Amino acid sequence: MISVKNVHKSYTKNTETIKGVSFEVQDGVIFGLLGPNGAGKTTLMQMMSTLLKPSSGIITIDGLNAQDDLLEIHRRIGYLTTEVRLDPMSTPDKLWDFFAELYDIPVKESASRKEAIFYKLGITPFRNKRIIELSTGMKQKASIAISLIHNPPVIIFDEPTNGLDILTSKQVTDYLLELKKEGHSIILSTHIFSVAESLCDEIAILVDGKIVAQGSSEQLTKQAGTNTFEEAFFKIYVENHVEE
Amino acid sequence: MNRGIKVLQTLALPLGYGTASSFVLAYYAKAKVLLSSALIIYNIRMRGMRTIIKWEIGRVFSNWQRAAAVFIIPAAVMMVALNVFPYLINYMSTGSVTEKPIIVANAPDSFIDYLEETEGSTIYTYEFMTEDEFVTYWKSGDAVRGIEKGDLTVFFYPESNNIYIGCNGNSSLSMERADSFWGVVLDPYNDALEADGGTILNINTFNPVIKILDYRTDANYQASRVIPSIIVLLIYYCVYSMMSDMFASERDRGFYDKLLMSPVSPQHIVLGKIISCTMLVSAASYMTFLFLFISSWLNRSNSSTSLIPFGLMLLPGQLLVIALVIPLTAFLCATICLSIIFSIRRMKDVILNLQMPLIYLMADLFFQMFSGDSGLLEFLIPIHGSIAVIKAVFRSNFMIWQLVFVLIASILPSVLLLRRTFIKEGYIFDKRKKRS
Repeated sequence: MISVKNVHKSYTKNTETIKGVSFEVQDGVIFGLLGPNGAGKTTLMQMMSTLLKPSSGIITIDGLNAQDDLLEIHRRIGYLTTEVRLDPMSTPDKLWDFFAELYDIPVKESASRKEAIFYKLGITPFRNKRIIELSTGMKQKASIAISLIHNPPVIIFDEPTNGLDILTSKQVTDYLLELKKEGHSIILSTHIFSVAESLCDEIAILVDGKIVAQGSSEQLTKQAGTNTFEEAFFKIYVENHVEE
Repeated sequence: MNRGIKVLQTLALPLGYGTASSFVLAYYAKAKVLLSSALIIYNIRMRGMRTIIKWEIGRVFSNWQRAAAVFIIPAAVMMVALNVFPYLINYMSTGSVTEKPIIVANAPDSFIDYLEETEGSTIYTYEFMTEDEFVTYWKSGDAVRGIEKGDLTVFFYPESNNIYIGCNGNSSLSMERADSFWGVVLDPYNDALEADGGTILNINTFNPVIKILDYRTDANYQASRVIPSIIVLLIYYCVYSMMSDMFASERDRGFYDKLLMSPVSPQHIVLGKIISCTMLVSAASYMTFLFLFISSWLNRSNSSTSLIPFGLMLLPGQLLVIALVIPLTAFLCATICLSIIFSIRRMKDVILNLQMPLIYLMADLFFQMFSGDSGLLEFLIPIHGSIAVIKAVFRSNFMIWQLVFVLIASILPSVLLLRRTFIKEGYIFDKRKKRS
C-alpha cells in the first residue's frame, strides 16, 4: 500500500508546488492523478519515486518511509516516464543485462524474464539495435521493460501514453491492465481523460498543487452533476483554479 | 590454530617481538571476523559500484568512436601539436618552415671530415662558404640581416685558432640554437682534435641504445619543461569530456535518474563512475606516454626547438612514480568536474564551466616552461603539485616526500569535494548542520 500524508513541496521560498496532498493507494489498484500542465503531477510522482524530497509530509510504501529506506523502496517501485531515459548508444538487450546486474537478479531468472517481457512488448525484433536507431514507441517500450526488470509491486508511471501512436498506446495500456491483474499497484499521471477513465479505479484531480476531488470516474461525474467525466473535470477545475 | 600464526610466533618470539606476536594472536579472531565482514561488504555493498565500473568501461569499448575519442585522438592531437611546434617557431622567427642551414665559413678540412663521419651532419644542414665568399656576404649586409632573423653563422679563423659563432643575442631561440650547436658539434670536434687530429670518436654508426643513453640526461631535462604540463592538461581534458558524458549528459537525458532509482546507493553510483573515469583516463595517459617515447625516439633530427627531444627515457622506478601520480591527478580532476556539474543545472553552462580549469592549466603550462625546479610548497598545490612531481622525475631530482605531498594535495581536496557534492545532493547528511 502507498500512503501519501500531508505532503508539501516548495522549490523556492515563496512558491509552493504541492500544497498538503494526502491519499492512499491499495494493492492491485490503478490510481490516476489527473490535472492540467503545471498542476504538480510530475513533482508528486518524483517525490513518490524518491527522486525528490518533500519539503514536509510523509510518503510510505508498504510501511517503509521513502526517505529512510531508500534502497529497499527502490526494490519495490518501478518509475517510468515518457521522456527517453536510456543510453542512446546501448541496445535494449545490453541495458537489460546491466540493470539486471544492478538489481542483483540471478542470471537465469533475468534471462527468462527478459524473453517474456521482450516478447510481450514486441521488443524482440529490435533488442540488439541501438536506442538511438529506435522510434519513439520502440524507445518507450524498451524503457518500460527495463523499468519493470525487477517485477516491482508498485509502478509509478508519469504520462504513460504521451507522444505515443495509437497502436503503441494501446499496447502500453493493455500491459498496464495485465500488470494490475497480476496484483501490481499502479499510480499514473495523465491529462488525457480517456486514459484516466478507461484505466483507473480511482482518480485524484490535482489543481494548483492540491487534490480537489477524488473517487472513481463515475463517482466524480455524479458528484459534479454532469453527463460525462470530461465535463465533470472542467467543472471541478473551474471551481478550484485560482488565477495568479 | 592457523599454521601461519604458529610460524609467526616461532619467528617473532626469539627475535624479541613477543608483544607483536601476542597482539596478532589476541586479535587474530577479531581480524578474521573483520576480514570476512569486509569481504561480505565488498560483495554486497560494492557490487553495485563494480557493476557501474564495468558498465562505464564497457560503454567506451563497445563504441569505436568513443574509444578513439578517449585513447587515440587526444594523444594524436598532442603528438601533432608538439611536432608542429618547432616548425611554427622556425616560421615565426625566420620566415622559413624548416630550420635554415648553418652557414659555415672557412671551415678546415678536418671539420668537414668530422661532420661527414659523425652524427653532427645529420642533425643540422650546412651551407659552406670560402673565406672570400663569406667576406662578400658579410659586406653586402646579408649576413647581419640573416643573423638578426635567426641564422647561425660559424666562421673559422685558423690564424688565431678561433671559431666565431654569429647569432642573435636578443633572441633566446637563436642563442639556444647556437648553444645546442656548440654542445653537439663544436665541443666533440674540439675533443676529437685534442685526442688525435683525424681519428675521431668511437661511434661512427647510429646505435639507438647508445644514443638514447647518451641523450637521456639532456632530453629528459628538455622534456621536463612541457611534457608534465601537457600530460596533466590532457588528463583534465579527457576527464572533463568523460565526466560531462557520464554525469551532465546522462542527467540531461534522464538516464542518471534511472540509475538513482536502482537499489544501489547514490554514493556508490557516483564513486563507480568516478573510478571508471579515473581508470580509463589513466590508461589513456599511459598510452600517451608510450606515444611520447615513440615520437621522441623517431625524432632523429632533434631540432633545438623540439618539444619532444630525441632520447627521452625514464627508468622503471621513475615510470612507477608517474604511473602513481596519473590516477591521483585523474581522480582529483574527476571530483572537480563532479563538483562543477552538480553545482550547475543547465547543460550549456556545465560545459562552459568545465572549461574554466583549462585556463588555470594553460597558465601553469607557461609557468612550468620558464620556471626552474619546483619549491617545497608547490607540491602541496592541487594539480600543480602533480605537474611538479612529474617534472622532478624527468629532471631526476624526485624525492619520496614530494609524492607524499602530492598524495595529500590530491586525496584531501578530492574527499572534501565528494563530501560537499554528496551533502548538496542529499546523498549524505551534514552532521554538523543536523546538530545545530
